[in-house]
Amino acid sequence: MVRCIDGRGEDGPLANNQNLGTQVPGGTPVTSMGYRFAKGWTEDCNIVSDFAEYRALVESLGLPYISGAHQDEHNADHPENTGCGAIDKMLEIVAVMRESQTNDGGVKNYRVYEYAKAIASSHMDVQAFDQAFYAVQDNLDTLEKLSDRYFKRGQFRSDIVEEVKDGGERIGEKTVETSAGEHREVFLMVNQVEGETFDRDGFAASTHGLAQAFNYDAWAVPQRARDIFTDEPAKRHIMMVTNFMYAVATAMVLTDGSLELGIRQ
Amino acid sequence: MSERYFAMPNQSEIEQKPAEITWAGRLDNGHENPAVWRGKISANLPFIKERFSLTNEAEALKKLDELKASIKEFM
Repeated sequence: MVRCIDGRGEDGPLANNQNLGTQVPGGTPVTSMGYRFAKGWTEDCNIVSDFAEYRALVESLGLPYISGAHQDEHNADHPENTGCGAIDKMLEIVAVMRESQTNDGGVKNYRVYEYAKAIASSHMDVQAFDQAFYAVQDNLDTLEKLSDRYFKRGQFRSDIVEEVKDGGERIGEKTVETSAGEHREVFLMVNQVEGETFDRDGFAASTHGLAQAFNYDAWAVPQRARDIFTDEPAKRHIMMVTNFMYAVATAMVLTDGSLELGIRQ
Repeated sequence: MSERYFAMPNQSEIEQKPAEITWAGRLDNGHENPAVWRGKISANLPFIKERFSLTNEAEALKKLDELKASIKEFM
């Protein structure tokens, strides 16, 4: 099951670390935003329907990963949120992604641009990155205009988790984790080693829960994009760069600038 | 970008080697104003010192180094 980058684990016995799902910000629902940006807009799409469309496509292609997301143990206290920062703060994160662009099409906030370009450098050349980056900016402009509808007037958060749960029930799989405890991440890991991920719960347990780490399996993003847009490199790059930018912006929104970056490759 | 900017090694240079972690500084999130970053997830040394019941920030720094070494075992 696809997991979020969240460093908190679930309560209870440690998960079987031989079969852990990849970690991307927000799990599959955020990946589906990159799919929308690459595919193009429709008149009635929104973040929840895009997730459902993307998941159906993954299933129809027989791809070997299960769409997933997470909530947290505080959900009962704030039912309007999911407990996943990458989803609950989606509007703020998208705003940080948009800060990258100036009115004349230049680059204003170099941080998102440079970090995303550095992550992308293992997967595409600079020219391809720049083309995709500006295409993402165009999509962010469209998203700004359609924001009310796309984010269901702010009601998208709990709807997404319900949609992910429904998908899991349909195939008899658990698709929503419940993170427990406080955030205690000390590192931001970017993992570029294909086929490998992070034993999040094991690391946290080894510190008696005093330290955790965010982990972004960046290698998985081009794999997903190749699966969906096999013969369409431009679309593939847009889907990838959207996710790279989203991951960077998520870290910027959720953390205070004191977490160290670890690049694993 | 400041010195916080990190660069990926050339792909051809790394394909021959086992996986390694390169520590690339702190994420520059542009939050210059404390009112913006207060309350966000933090690994500042005073927090690490308190969380691990350490006596000073030098020990907190050492603890972070220990965690950097141990995280390799979980990836």
